[in-house]
Amino acid sequence: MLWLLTVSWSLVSGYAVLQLCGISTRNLAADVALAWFCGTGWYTFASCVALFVLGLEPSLWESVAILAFPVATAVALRRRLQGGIQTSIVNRRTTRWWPWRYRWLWVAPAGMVVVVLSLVVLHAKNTPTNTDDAIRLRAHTPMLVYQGHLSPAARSAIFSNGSFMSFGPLPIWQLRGTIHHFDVNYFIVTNVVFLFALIYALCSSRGVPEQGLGTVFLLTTMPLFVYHAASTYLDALYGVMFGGALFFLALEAQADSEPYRRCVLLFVYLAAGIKHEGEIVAITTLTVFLVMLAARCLQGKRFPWRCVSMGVAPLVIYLVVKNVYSSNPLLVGAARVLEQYVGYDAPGGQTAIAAVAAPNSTLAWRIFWDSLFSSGNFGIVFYIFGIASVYYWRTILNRQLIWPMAALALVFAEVLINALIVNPQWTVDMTTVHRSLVAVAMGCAIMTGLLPDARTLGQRTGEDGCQLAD
Amino acid sequence: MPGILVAQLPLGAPSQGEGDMKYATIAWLAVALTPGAVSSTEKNLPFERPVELDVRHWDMFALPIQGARRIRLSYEATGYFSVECAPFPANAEPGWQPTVFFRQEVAVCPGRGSCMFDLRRTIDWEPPAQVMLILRGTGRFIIRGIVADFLESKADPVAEKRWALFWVPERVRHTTINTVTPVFWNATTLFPWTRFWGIVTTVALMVAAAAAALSKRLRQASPVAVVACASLLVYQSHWLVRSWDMFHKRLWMSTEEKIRRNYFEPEFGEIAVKARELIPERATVLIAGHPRDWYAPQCLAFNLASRRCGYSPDGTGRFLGIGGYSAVTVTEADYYICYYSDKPEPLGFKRIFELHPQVYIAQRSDKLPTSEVAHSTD
Repeated sequence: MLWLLTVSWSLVSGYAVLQLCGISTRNLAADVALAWFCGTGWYTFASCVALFVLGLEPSLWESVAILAFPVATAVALRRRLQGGIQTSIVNRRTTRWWPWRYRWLWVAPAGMVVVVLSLVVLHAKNTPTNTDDAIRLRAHTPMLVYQGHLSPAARSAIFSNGSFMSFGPLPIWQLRGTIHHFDVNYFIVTNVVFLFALIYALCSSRGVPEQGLGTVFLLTTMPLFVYHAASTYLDALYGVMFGGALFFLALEAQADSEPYRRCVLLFVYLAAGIKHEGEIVAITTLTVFLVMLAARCLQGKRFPWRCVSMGVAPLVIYLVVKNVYSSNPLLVGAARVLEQYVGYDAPGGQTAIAAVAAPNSTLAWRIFWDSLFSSGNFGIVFYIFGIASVYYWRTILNRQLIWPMAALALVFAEVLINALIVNPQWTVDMTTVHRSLVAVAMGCAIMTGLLPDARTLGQRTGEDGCQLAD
Repeated sequence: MPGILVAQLPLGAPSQGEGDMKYATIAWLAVALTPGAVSSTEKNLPFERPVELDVRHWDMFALPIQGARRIRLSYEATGYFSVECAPFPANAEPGWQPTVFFRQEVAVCPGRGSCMFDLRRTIDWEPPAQVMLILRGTGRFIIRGIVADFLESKADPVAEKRWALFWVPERVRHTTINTVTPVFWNATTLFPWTRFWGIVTTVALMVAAAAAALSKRLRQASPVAVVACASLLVYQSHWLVRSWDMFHKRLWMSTEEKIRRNYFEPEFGEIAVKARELIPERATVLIAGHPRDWYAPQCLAFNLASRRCGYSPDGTGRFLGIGGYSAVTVTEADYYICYYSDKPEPLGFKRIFELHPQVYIAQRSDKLPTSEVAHSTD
């Protein structure tokens, strides 16, 4: 119950943030899901800055103040905000919650999603942090922050893990008055649930529930992602943020809409706050996003300086704080991931990699290939993504989906280089190769789900092939 | 009951992490059974009297049974065990252990019960394979009976293994986080199920795409999306059936119950729960483990947060705070938890709870209200 109360706090605060930022969808379900990401993003950003810049140690009252601030601001500015809502992402007229074709056939995938998601939630709720998880950063950096351990080494660990994970579970512990390690699981699985809700609700509000259902169904067919979603590991979590950024990048590429741009930047910021891998993925996605906007300038459109500078500001501030207060700064930290997997940063964690296999590029390549197409960790998502990319190549070009595809390809290339060239030993012993592909597989699932547009699904649509109203 | 036969371990019980696995053979059966020695497929093994095994941390026993495909073990335990039966391959090398992906571990708590093992669901199974019994935990494990299901004489072991491995259950293992259990479409050639179904799906999608390209009427039916959905449903159903038992599905469980029931090693869950119950929130705790343990001290520290904990990651006597960013000294400690550490408790500490002599909780003597030591069997 306390967890639900904490989620409600974040939702109320996040709802105010999305009103202030002008990214309301005017679809309550999508707004609620987006509010979770806005709320936790705002809280983790503000509490991180408060701790390291202002020297305010986290407390219950500080958390209440941080979460209440956007609400108070939104109430104070409510008249001005009413105008902002008019420029919301979607038009209510297009909302459709269930596919109109093959109505009964969609029951099976939708049922499968509900069953798998229920299993994930129950498993995450009931499973204690497994033995080796207990030494990993993801689980213990929130404890360091909560207990006030801020030595230089501890700060380095906190920023290695990222602000999102290190500060995210604090409100519930402050409310409980003690540490309850299951809350780390709850936090991760809540993000997964809200991503699913966001994708389905937003696609439905755009009039194409097929895309939403198809995407979340594809996501649930990846066994390793499903298992990670119910665990204390962070690979699924930064996959969620990368997936969110890619999802909005795809929508923005088609619609050229400012609210979507803000959402891309929100998820880029959130991804940067999760491990070094999230930072790399975020910077890659941001780069593609900026190149896309610059390319539009060549077609005579104005570069959205105001939106981009406002959206990138939290990311820049966070990276500055990280560089100043951590011995593990940007780029140096990001480079470290190429030489040492982040999970082994903690003292004592080195024992886990004491007996790694000797690097063997040929074997590493074979195992990487098997990871994609034979291991079963990602189901048959890569097969379907490959065929769908070829089949829908015109859609990709016509709807400017080449940009999210480019971001996905770059992230895949980074994982590939890490697995084959930089750290082949951990590919050979299969400790990290599958996990490092979770975010890529999630991106493939999301892009595959978005490829069949309204027109190919047999609907009467506008010229852009989507039922976008804006 | 005519008496209990105590199995001796002439080679000595190996401890966890040691290189060469030694094991003892339990020779209490009247005859060593092979597939040809029984007329029916399922048989209660001739059992003269229960066999008591004195287990310390991790022991492996060879059962004189060959050719069994399933085994049901009736037991009585005095401690917390993780029990496993696995076929011993003919070409096994010294230090052999069951392949990690196909381990079938069952958590056993003190008391009587029975557990079933399907040996065909392991990559090492073949009809002449001897059966190994692997026990993790400490205490007495009394085997009260064994029912073995043997392969029928006309049955095809290759087909049996193939089918069994195709439906091999997914389990929560130490390594599940890195990769899921491999599933084979053909267990003989080790052809992966995912590759097989991926190729089938690719061919089907190409046919659907060709059909859509050739016929406008077919194109309106979105054949590619329909085929992809159908293929995913088949794949997902297979995975869901295999994984159903892996998920902890209870709607409501108390925190203590989750820790007690859902750790890999039931002994670990039990000591973690007891420590949370006995040690107050403001206490300082030292935790010592086996030098080559799988992070049990760190995990105990994790379960005891927000108590101030120091664990010894390497058995050297240095105690680090959580994450290794601080240190805790013996003089600061109020409590001491031992989880298979080779070292005795520090001077001035007295045991207040013990699961057995190698797993216990001790409290600093001057803070001890009574001198009584609680035992798990009390």
